[in-house]
Amino acid sequence: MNIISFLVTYLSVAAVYALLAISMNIDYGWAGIPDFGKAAFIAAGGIAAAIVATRIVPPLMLHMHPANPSKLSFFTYYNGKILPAITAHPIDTWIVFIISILLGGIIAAGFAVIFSYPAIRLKEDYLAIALLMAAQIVWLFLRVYTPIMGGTMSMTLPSPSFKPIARALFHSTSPSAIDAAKALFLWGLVGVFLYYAEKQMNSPFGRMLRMVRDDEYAAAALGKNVARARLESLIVASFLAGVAGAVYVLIHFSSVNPDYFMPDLTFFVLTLVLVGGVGNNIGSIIGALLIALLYRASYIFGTSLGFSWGSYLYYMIIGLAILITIFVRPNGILPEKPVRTPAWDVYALVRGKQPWFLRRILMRGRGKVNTGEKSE
Amino acid sequence: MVYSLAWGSALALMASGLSLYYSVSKVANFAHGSYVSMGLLAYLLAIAFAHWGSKITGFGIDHYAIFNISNLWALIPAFLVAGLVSLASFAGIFWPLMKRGATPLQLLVASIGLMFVLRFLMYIVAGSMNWITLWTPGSTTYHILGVRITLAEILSFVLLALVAGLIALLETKTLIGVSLRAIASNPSLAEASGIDSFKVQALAWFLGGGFAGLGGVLMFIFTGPPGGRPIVELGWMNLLSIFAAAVLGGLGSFYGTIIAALILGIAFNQAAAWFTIYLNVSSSLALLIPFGITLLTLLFFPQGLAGINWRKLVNKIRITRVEEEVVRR
Repeated sequence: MNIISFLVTYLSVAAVYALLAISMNIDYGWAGIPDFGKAAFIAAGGIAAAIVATRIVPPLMLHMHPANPSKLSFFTYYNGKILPAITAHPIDTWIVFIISILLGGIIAAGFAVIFSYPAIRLKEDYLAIALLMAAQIVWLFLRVYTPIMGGTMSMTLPSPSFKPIARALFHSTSPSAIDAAKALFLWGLVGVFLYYAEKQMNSPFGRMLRMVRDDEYAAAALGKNVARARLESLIVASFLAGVAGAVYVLIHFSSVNPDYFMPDLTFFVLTLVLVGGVGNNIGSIIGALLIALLYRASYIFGTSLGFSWGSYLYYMIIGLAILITIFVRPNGILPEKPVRTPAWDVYALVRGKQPWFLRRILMRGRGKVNTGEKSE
Repeated sequence: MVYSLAWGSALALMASGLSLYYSVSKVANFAHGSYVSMGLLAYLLAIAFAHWGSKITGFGIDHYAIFNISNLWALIPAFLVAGLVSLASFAGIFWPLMKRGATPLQLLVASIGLMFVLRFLMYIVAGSMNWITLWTPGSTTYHILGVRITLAEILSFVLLALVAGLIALLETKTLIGVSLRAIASNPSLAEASGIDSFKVQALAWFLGGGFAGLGGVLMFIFTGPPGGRPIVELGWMNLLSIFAAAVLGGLGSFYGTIIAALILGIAFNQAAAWFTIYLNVSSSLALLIPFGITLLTLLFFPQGLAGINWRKLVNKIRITRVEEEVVRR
């Protein structure tokens, strides 16, 4: 394995983790909700991808009968007929992808409303446990109820084809070019998520979430509906989690299996956010990059040790990462920044908190503001 | 039915440990599941040391670890190891964090980190003894009055009664128990009146972890590895049931938790039986029933069973009956 192909695969894995981390950051970091049901919301994306590939796309686009994963003949029919028919045209795989991410987001948002309803008004401990139970139930249900994704057997999914993109960008369809196109696409998606999260979080809505997190009673006293704010942030974050879940199964694994959504996944995503910086979107991405590297390295190192417990070394790494972060930097690598409002920009400019090369750019269009620089 | 109650008692042992230290420290501790597995590993290791030289690695341990009278002593190391690990985690992690003024959410997250570290340490032990997957070793069976009952079932009732009695004595007759209740109801007032908060909380954590270890051994004897997962994850797979019981009992209420665990034990096992016999679906889905009960209770009585004002409820029912009679006349 040469270093470039390792880097490219590592970057695309880190991008998927970054998507998950941004969605976790919205409800855990900004609204202070211990969203331990994240695995269930990510599973919604997996459910959507499975449903789209077996039930929705074949009858609508290919004029084929829908496949039922609980039947015995499913694998010969699905793997033999439907999958080749979808992957024959790159456009079809992208249609599957787009419908899956939309449907995944919608299902996840629905889950968020249902699962958080009993406990959204209670203390964090109760909400955490209620959501964790929901994640466990969803996981067990997917294992047992075969018509969705065929129980515990892995079901191959039509992964979106990066061949045309690689051909257009790099003029080659070698595996490394395809991987590079995939990594580029995923980081583009991370950019979209980041832009949305930054916009949303610097809006009045984001400021309200912070107030609810920091002082519930003050928020209530100022006429904010605390339960509703929490629910809204949970819905937004779950929608993103559902989208990220569809990306997770379709691009990262290109197959689906209930065991991808074990409740442990939540804590893995939580580690990314915690290490990177709670309440800071850039921090979450840095956490994803760091933990993906540690995870990969500890797995390679652990399995090369030759002990039967070596492959579990990543538990140690993740656990220690959480504990060290909590003790040494409770706010993560990049701590939370103040909300960016126009007023804050001007204040920062006056107090000289912006780097010098940004001042000129920020000054543009605010000509009449007294920055205090001229008088000096 | 006996089995369901016994399963519930094992759950009650584990969950009461959690609620014992939750009442004083207010830490929703996810590492509690690790104490459960630690107890089990200590039990197995103690028996392995007693039979050192025989075939104790891999499935060989199942032959010796059968739960009978002559193996009862091995419950003591299970209690001690789980209790000491719990004590160490309190003294090493949670107490320093609480001193720094960590929020409940930070404590909760720290407990997740601790859970992963402990789980890895247990994988080292279980992996080097080749115990990662084991069957339940079973237990000696008796026939009392025509009822088939195993030693583990008897013992789980006895231990639960002992623990409940012990805590009742501790909390009413001894100074440290009274200070335990004082800290639970008002920590700052208790500290102001000269109670050494650290000592009292440490005792609660030691006992809580120990109870978890005992419950873990019994639970393993009853069910074996849960869902075919490694035995190290016994605690993790039961963690949600533990939390369900603790929440249903009203977080931090010791006796409420015991009653809730018994209710959940009956509900889960009866539902599992119905699911497999009548609906022909996997019994693992029966977890829906206890979780559903807990969520519904949260919806109507957020403080759990202990938070319900029973006298008021009974009075309400009585009054409505009287009113009905009045209307009838």
